[in-house]
Amino acid sequence: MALSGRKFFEARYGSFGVELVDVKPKQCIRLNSLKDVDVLSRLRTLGVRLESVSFLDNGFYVLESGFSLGAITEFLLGYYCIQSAPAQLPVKVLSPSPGDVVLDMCAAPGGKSTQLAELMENKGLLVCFELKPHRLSSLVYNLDRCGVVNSVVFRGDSVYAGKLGLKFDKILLDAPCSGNYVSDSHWFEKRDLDGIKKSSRIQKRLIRAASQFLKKDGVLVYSTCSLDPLENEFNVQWALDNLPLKLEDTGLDVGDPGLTEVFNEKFSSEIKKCRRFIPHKTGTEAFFIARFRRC
Amino acid sequence: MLRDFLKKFDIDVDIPRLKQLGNSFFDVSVLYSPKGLFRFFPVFAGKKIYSKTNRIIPSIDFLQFLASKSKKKIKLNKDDEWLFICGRDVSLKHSSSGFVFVVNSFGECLGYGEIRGNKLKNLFDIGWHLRKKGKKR
Repeated sequence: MALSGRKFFEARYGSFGVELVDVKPKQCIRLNSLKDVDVLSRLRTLGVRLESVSFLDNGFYVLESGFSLGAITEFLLGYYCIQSAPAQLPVKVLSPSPGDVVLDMCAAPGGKSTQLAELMENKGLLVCFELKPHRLSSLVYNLDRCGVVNSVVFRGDSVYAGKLGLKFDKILLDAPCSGNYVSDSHWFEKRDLDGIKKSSRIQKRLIRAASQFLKKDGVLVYSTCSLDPLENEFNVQWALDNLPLKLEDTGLDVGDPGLTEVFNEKFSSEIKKCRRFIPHKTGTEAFFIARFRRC
Repeated sequence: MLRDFLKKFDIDVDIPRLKQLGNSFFDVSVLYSPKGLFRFFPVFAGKKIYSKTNRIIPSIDFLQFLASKSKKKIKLNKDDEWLFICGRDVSLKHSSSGFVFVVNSFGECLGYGEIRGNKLKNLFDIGWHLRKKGKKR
């Protein structure tokens, strides 16, 4: 039996209550508070209709726009970023402070890195890693565009970030993952169970590394845009069993709690503290967020 | 190269000591505790000032800073602003000459160019990065 295709994933995800309904999420922007401009008025004057996202501080759904929001002066000057609503949450959950030393392990294209710098008020130190050279240009462009001045960017695998000799107060691991069918229309043709298992192994390697770079009591936020428990709850349970990490509440009142039983496996009840975004319920792309603290 | 560039716009400012990473230059004095990090060859650090290719590509914020220090500016209306950030030259009503920073009705700098007669030649604009990315794809 092929372990891929829409039918396979419908059955796989249906087993824990996820319906693969076609969802078209609204475009979303995040205002950049590092630039002191009343961009909302500017966009409204241009005829853009926006609606505040209830669970975000600076996020707005784009209800109507007669032009691409990714090419106008206000965008090019860094007054806002185009970033999906759930993708704005991991940084909110991490909640970095101005004096923190923060690591962004898989930083490109830089939406979350610029958001980290924003919450850090451009102070402290933000260390960004990106493995893929072709994605680095987007990252450095976005840092420049958004006026980020507290970052240092390295090309390479962030599992080697320990060589820098730093210990981090906060780490964001928005891990490379298999993605989801909402943000990729060819997702069912491209993905299979083997690929998901491979992603899961890579993610474990990154989580292990992150736990080594964290200060005692430091915070790690792990997120993916995958629906698959192998990349989410299974990894979280593995981390709880094998690493000096404990789970904390995300503080979010949106999304569903993490699964505590799936594919005949039972997990710790702690995993309810994680949040998963299921497209047919939230009207957004899929997302998963866990907040750990180092013991 | 930066000095020559500034001279074209009659700008006299103190530029801090810059750190070169690849073909880009950064003010790293703004960074908290960067000690030792440069041994690991970062590609971006602190406040980006400019990149150097066959011309000066100022960072977005440095561009605004430079334009605020120069009297050589030309203001474009909304239609011409759009043309300019799409990389196009702009026709002017009056003839003139020289290097100018190009600003919009909010006074935001969109790039720089050279006026030749009644044409504003686009030498760099803030949409350049996006177009460059598009070509790479």
